[in-house]
Amino acid sequence: MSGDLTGKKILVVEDEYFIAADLKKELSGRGAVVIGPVGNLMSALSLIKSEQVDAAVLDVNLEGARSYPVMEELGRLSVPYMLLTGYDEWSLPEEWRNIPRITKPCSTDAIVRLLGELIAWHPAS
Amino acid sequence: MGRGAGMTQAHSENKCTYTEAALREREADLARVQRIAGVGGISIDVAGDMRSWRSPEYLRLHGLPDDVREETHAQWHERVHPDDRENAERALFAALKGTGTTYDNEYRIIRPSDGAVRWVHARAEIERDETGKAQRLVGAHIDVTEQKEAQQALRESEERYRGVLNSMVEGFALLDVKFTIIDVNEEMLRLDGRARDQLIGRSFWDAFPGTRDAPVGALFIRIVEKRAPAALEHEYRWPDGRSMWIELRAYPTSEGGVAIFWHDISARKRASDALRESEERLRSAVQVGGLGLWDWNVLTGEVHWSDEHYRLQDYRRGEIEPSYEAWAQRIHPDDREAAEAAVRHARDSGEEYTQEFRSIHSDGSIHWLSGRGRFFYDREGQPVRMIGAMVDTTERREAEERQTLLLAELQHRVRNILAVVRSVFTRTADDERAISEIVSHFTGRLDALARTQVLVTQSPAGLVDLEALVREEALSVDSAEDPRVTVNGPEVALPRKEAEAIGLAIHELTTNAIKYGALGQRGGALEISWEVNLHHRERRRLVLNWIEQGVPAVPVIPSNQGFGSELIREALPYRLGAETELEFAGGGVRCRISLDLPIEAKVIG
Repeated sequence: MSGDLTGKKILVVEDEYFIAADLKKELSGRGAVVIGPVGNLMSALSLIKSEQVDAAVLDVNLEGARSYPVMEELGRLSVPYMLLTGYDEWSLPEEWRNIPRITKPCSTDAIVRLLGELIAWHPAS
Repeated sequence: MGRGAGMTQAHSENKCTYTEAALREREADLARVQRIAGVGGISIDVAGDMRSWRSPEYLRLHGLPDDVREETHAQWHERVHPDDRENAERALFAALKGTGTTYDNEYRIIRPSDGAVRWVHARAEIERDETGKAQRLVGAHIDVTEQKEAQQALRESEERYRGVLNSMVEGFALLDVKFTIIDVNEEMLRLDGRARDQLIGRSFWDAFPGTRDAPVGALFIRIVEKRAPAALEHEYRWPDGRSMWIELRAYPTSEGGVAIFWHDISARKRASDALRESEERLRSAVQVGGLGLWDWNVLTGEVHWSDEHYRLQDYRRGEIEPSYEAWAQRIHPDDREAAEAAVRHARDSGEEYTQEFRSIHSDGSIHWLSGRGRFFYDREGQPVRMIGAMVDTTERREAEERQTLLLAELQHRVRNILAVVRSVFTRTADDERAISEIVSHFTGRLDALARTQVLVTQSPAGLVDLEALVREEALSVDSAEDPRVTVNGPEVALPRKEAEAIGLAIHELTTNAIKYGALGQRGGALEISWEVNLHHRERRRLVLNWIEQGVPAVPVIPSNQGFGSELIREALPYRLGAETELEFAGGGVRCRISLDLPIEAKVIG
């Protein structure tokens, strides 16, 4: 089942411009409000503080740094999020292995579909 | 018997009485002397019937009654021991038949008085007539039983000792006080390889050259002087080159010489040498391999550690008494329970103990140790001993972790670049109209990405020289030697991310310049220049200018509003935090890219 993204605030954290831009374009086209995109930890964390976020798409590797602090913060706020990553499950710490994940490269459609499911399933949103 | 009677026959009345008395006296004296000396007298009438006359002492020696002074040859023959009868008789007749005047014989008799076997030694003179025919035999008998038995005992004793010496597995040699070899046994001959007569009677120093000035010679001399036993292990080399390891024990003899016992220990020596070598090999293997060995007496709690075991757990020898507790104490608290549980499991199950755990050193550093061991049990199945070995696996673990990390990074990069390629393709397809143009632009961009990747991977530090990057892009479109182009700037090393983005930007600007700008015009000129400004001590800002001249005023080229300008205007600021300006002014394109260089981006080489 695919959830409706209209009016949903989606945080996009991705350091690669073209991927981020594609995502933004796609999400905006579906009526979502894109928060970001941002490509580094500090910007992502400050956006989470200042904005009401309904869901998030996170790249795991941001300029060589791992986005675990962002994931922790989203988890603390019960914001559903998904990972967009070039890493396989085994290279992720165990506690993050259950987080919905799409492996790059992928179509923006797949991301949009998974986000829709996350929002529909998540009771808080 | 006529002879005996003849001795008392001739006499006259007076004179007779005197002579008779004198004769009787002399006879008595003779008998007395015979008795004192134990010599029995005998006289045989060889010319007659071989009857014999015997003195009283003879009768006593032969165990015969006092009154039987005469007997026949057959009676004598009967008394001789059955085993000796034939020989004794033959010797007697041989003597009589011959021409000699002496007779000498030894034989046993069975003494009629008590049935005892006695040795008799008979010596006699044979009287012969003019023709040489034996007439009479006069002789003396002595009982030599005691001497015979003593000789026999001595011979038996000698044979016994000879047998012992020859059955010994040790070589034996007897030297006199002058070190002359006076006896050797069979084993000695076997060890030496020479015959008995090649050794006996020779000086030991001559028979075994080189020994006199060797420790073995000194030892013999000392034994003769100090009269105390000594032992020695030495290797003797025969003149023929053969050699043997000999264990030698030597004792002083009662005659002042040396008794030597030799034992060939070459095999034992080789084995013990081999054992020592193998032990040394094991020891160095343990050291080189960094093996920490332990041997734990479960019953007493006593533990033995190899040096390496101390070192692996950062103990110094003597600092503590090795123990199970000392081992457990240095294990990382997070791993201790599991490590101890593994020991208990091995003990209870009889399975091999294999466990990896971290050990904390006194400087706080953490070391991975891998232990393997097993328990040994008594007949009741009670664990009594545990033996095992540990190695430091920190480096292996780190290498594994590094490899895992590298693999993850590789995956990340490959997938990311594929995602970028995907986006670039989508954009190229969106911008362009004709398929041929899409293909040409996309392959151009893909090649630009690939070229940068090559440059990045060529540098060990993953840094790319900016000028090389610029020339590589220009070269790809045959503009590297173009006189209209000037490239000018200090040496700058760009990190991977910066190189990738700037390389693609240069590619876009170059293709645009060829198609619409300075490189497509006869009178055009392109100046690519950059400088690095030190803002603060740790911040360096790169400013890159792309200035085209001599291009007639061109309108904004719609197709190039697409990928290239998005790259410069959007992607570079997003990706690199760069400030960019891009204008299509009169005279050509002007582009300015400013960005902070990371601290670590140093000048190449």
